[in-house]
Amino acid sequence: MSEQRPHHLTWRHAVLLAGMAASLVAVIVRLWQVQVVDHQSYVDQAARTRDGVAATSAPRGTITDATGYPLAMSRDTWDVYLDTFLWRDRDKARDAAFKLSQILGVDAAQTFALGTAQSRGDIPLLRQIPYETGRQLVDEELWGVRLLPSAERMYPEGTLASPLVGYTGLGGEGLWGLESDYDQVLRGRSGMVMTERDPLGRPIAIAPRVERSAEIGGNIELTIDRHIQRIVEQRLDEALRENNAPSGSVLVMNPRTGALLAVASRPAPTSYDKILDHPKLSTLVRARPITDLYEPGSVIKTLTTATAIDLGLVTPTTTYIDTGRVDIPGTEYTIRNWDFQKYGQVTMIEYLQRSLNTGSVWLSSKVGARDFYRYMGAFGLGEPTHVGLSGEGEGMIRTPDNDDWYPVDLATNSYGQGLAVTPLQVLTAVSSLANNGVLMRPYVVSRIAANGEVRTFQPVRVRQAVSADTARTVFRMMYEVVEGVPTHGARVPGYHVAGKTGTTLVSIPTGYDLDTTIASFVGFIPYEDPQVGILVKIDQPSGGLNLGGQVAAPAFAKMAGDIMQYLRVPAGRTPSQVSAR
Amino acid sequence: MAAAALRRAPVTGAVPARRLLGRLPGVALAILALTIVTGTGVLQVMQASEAASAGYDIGRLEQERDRLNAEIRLLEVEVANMAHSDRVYQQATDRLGMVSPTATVRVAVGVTAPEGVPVPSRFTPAVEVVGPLQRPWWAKLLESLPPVR
Repeated sequence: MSEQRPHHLTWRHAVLLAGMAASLVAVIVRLWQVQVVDHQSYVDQAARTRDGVAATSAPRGTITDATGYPLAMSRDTWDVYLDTFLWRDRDKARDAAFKLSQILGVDAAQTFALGTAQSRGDIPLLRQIPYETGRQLVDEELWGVRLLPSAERMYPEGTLASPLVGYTGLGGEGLWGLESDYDQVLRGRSGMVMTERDPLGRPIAIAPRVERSAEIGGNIELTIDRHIQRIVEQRLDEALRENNAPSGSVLVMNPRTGALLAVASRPAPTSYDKILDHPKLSTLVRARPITDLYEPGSVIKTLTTATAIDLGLVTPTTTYIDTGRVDIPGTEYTIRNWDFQKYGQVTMIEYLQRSLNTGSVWLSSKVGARDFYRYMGAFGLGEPTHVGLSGEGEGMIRTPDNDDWYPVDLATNSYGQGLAVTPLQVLTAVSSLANNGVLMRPYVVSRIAANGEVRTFQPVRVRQAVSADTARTVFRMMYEVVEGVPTHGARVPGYHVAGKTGTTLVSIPTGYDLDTTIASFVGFIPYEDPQVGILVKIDQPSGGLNLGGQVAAPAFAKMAGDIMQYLRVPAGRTPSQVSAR
Repeated sequence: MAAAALRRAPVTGAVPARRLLGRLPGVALAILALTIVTGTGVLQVMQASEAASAGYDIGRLEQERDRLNAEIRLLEVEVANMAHSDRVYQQATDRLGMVSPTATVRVAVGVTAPEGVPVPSRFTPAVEVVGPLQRPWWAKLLESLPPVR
């Protein structure tokens, strides 16, 4: 007879139960820790392992010229990343590195070392590899090699109009020029697809998916014509070489509309190779005709003359006696003609032809300070033109309202000294004389297409600076300045030109550098129906010639002739037909 | 006793059937439920399969779309490079043998054209004067005959 087991719990049962209870408690505590305390941590870890965020490319928009040719555009490329988490599998990583070395030409050992140096996260291997090479890698489905679409900015015309068009950094952000000014328009918004992915990084189709579609960057169309821009840059380079000048600027504008057809600036980048490492980058990337101030010199005489004629004080045949010098009353200043000559009785036409400083001083004394500065303001000097580009110079003109204004300023300002303006302001102001006295707002962007909307920019009339009769009269005088002087350097065979030279000394902190000049010329062609207004400015020529008529006017003639041929403008009519204007 | 047995006999035979019938709805319900569950499961699997298939198709088509868009942009780049000013100049000079003009001839179109200058006779070919052709005798004969209808 076997011994019957006791029905009560023995100490063994108690130990077993206690052990089980303790184990249960331990499990519950661990569950609590995993599910509650460290919940977010594990969720994040799981997400890192499983969830994938793939960027969908949004190419940057295109900048085209007036003919529709792209001056800046984007080319699709790929960025190559190594998934170090997956490359913990050394054998597969070694195979992938070997394959990468075959396709990309990278060193297999270095690639393997790079991808296995850490065990978490993606490491960039190469950026902006060619699109077809990237497609080849995508098709290969290499272990732990991830490709993200990217884009490379390219400039089909090279560095043409570089200071104006601008440049982008590696991240695709605009650094200067239009690329920077219109960055928000040009820059697309990258799309994003967040989904779970398999071990090879491919998205799992049935997994939850969050998607934001990419928005392609907007396109910008300029008023710049690349052929005119190229003509201007080539001729400007020639002029700088011939005159041994360090810098220069050229603007080409349609005087009827204010549309800028070319904006040339030197020095400028000659190559984009390592451009960001250039020690004098800031001197290369300025659109000088828009940002830099200078004393325009005798070009301003056209505006002084227009002011006097508009006020009814003189006519083209009005005369004054040129004694070669003018003493400014109440001061020790004496103003002389640029050639230190005296010409006796001269008409207003002759005064402009000979560019006599005494004539400007005489005119400004008749006009008076208040009206003179009022008209200069009407011509837009001393205020930004609102061309729509960053860094535009505002100009500096002292008026009688300023404490630091002196009566001699009126005299010097009348022939373009003692004031600072931008080339763009000067060309805009003088263009009003070729446009029946109407001042137009210059513009360089004609069309923006972004986010399904198209904005077209029309010419903007700023104000009637002088009457139409005054403008025609002064414009006719500008015609006489060029065509009335048979040896004038700005004459273009087959066409009639209206224009005015300018020569100024270079302003330095202690006054003026008497050894160097800024030579400039503003001209319009053809006179009968001006298609373009051109401002040429050559800084500090040191090739033996230094006057506007010697340095800038011949450069104008060359580029104006080329532009007329390009625009297929018929050759000019006879002078008798001209006088009917 | 026998009568009672007779009365009970059909009853005895009817009981399993009733029981069977009584049980049938439960079985049918179970089968129906099983069918519904199975059907739902199959449908869900089919739906998931369809979704997966459609998802892969969408992904593939999106990749195809992106690839085509990228190729369009690459072609635009190629077009731009082909139309590059320097390349056009190089093609014009190297391949077509064109040269830059050394002089420009301008013709004013606003004036009356000059009178035509007669070309000297020595530069003009002599014109042979040909007389009327001699008609053969039979042609005259045919014309004299009455017309044939």
